[in-house]
Amino acid sequence: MPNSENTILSVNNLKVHFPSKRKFGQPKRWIRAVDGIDFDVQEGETLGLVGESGCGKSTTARAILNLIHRAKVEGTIHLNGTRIDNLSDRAMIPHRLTAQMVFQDPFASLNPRMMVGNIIREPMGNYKLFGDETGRRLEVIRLLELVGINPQYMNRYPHEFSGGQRQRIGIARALAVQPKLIVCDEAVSALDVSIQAQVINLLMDLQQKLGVSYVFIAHDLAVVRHIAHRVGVMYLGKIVELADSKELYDSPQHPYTTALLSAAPVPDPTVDVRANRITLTGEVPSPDIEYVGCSFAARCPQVLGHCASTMPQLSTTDHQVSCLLYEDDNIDKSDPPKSNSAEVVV
Amino acid sequence: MVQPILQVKNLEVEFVTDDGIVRAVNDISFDLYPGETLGIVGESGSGKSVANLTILGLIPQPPGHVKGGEVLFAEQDLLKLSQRQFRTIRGKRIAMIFQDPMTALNPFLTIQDQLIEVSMLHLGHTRAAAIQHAVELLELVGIPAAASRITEYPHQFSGGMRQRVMIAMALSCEPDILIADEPTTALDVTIQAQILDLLKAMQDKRGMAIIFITHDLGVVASICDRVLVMYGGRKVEQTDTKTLFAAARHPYTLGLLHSAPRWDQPQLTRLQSIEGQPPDMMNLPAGCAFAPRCQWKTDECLAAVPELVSIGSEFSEGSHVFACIHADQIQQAGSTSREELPHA
Ligand SMILES: Nc1ncnc2c1ncn2[C@@H]1O[C@H](COP(=O)(O)OP(=O)(O)O)[C@@H](O)[C@H]1O
Ligand SMILES: Nc1ncnc2c1ncn2[C@@H]1O[C@H](COP(=O)(O)OP(=O)(O)O)[C@@H](O)[C@H]1O
Ligand SMILES: [Mg+2]
Ligand SMILES: [Mg+2]
Repeated sequence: MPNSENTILSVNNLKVHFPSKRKFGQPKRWIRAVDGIDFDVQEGETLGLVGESGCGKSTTARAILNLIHRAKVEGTIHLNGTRIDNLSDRAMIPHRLTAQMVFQDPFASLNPRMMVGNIIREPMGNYKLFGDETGRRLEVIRLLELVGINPQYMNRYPHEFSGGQRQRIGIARALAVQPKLIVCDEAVSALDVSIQAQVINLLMDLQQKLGVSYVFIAHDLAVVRHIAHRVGVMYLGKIVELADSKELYDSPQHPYTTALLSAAPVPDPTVDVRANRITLTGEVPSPDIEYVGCSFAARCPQVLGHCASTMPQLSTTDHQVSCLLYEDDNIDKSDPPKSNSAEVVV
Repeated sequence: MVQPILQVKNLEVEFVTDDGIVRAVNDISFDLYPGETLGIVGESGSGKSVANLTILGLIPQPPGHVKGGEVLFAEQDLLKLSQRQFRTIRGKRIAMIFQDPMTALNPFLTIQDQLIEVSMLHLGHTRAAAIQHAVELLELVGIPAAASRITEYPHQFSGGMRQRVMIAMALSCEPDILIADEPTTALDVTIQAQILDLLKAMQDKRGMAIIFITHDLGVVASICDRVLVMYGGRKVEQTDTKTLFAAARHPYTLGLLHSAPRWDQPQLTRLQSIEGQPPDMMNLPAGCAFAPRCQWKTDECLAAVPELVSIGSEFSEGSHVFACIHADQIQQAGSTSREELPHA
């Protein structure tokens, strides 16, 4: 991946394989949570990642911040030009200033016994930012105002706030170290629609004001279209399609993306989504299988004979897609599948 | 004229807690007709679940307390039934499915034991017939290899599969009414779509009425015939789905419609969110509960809870009910802002 000056994050051939609990008498297996993904994020840009549960979104998020333990991690991650995937927890500390994370459940990520002012001040103190305690106090006030929480409430505890307010506090804490990148993992998913809109607006305003970049992970396709400049679609640990947001939603190419979008409801009764529905059979298979071909082949409505035995590659065009239908070699696109199941090697 | 299969009249439910009284459901009334899907939408905490759990006699008392109202079904008031009498109705004529399937499934029993219990009890099936019936249902809800998987335990199924098992269980007695409380909220869209299709198919076949509680306006648009909007424990608007989306007359409904992004249209620069927070159900204001967040509020709104007003619906034969004294202005605002929306 070209590492231009404005690239904040660059992920190359990232793999995260967790050891699975071994059943008696069975060989050791690996859960291929993330299985070779590439993407980068530019300054001030939002990259969305979508896909069904278990496809590896959260693992990707944690890997970006070098937070994965007890797993086989391969590939490289460059944060603001520095390679970080091989750093120890200690050596990572200064880089935590560059990238921060906001989680789905703000309650679980905020210390219930700390007043919110201190929750936000803590990382500033750890990194000795903003001079002294007075400087940090002023910065806490500024951040609370920025995220729309009355600074008079800084001596309250997390449980005294609503879900949407707690999410704002989580964002204020992430902003406390003035990061260049914030990874949002389902950060608005648990919120009511009306409150979700407030937090999305806040994230977009902050980007305008501060130039911060986001990796925005969500399973809600509409929210991601709204907030992301580019969007990657994940399936079983791989990115199957990545394109400019409008391009991806208006002209999806990968059969999985098409099926996923066709299942997403639209808040408009005059649109008959059902009419264009592509129903996928079965469920996402277990990620402890290594495929020789396309891992979506077994469920793909447009599967070809080669699909189960030929590994598609993510194209390097602007609209990236990983599907034999779009590889322009001598593949016979009328070739019917021999059987609708992928070959696997264990 | 078609008679409603269920009539909820002036339902009032509260919870008496150490911190105070939670007025969870305030004067809710609605009719449910055979074969229709009535959507119930509202912020979390607005009383959607409590209202529906009350219909089925599932409110824990104490701390819950049904202060008033009637729930008429099959010529009786369900609120007056004993728990024993309820057993002939719950799970048989009125069934319920939840967001978390484990609230309805027993982790220590196989799927088979749970499924056949209901139909042996309520439909008088023999064990063999009940198993046969259960396998058919599991196939219907899309469980692959149902005949062999039926002897597994709930934890051996994925979340989406458990959800379908719970639906199979709810449908096993061919209920007249299905109450679905956010049954697809935790599921991926692909599985949600399958489940919505399934419910629709079952409804077409059996004329079952569905109450569908959700906060997802996409789901409302795709399966509901009529919608009831709740705010602060009250019904604030109710009409057919088309009218609701095209001509909302309550500011909360309009705000909700504007807050939801769409994946099928280019992005607007900003979502029009509803500012402020939902009301504290322990300290509901004397006036309209939405007033603190409402851009149209006047002194009158703060003085008293606005009455529900009924007019004919714009897009159907039905009626449009709303509780807002500025309803005309709001409908006007809704139609202007729609014209301003950029279209692809
Ligand atoms: N610590 C772990 N140990 C073993 N398996 C894991 C671990 N974390 C995640 N997984 C598995 O990796 C896959 C991807 O998970 P995750 O990244 O959480 O997906 P998503 O966020 O897209 O739902 C899943 O199959 C999950 O069960
Ligand atoms: N067992 C209970 N004890 C006390 N309060 C309760 C109980 N169950 C629900 N409530 C309160 O009743 C109100 C309505 O809740 P609910 O019907 O669950 O809302 P929702 O619209 O999200 O389904 C909320 O304020 C909730 O906190
Ligand atoms: Mg996740
Ligand atoms: Mg509820």
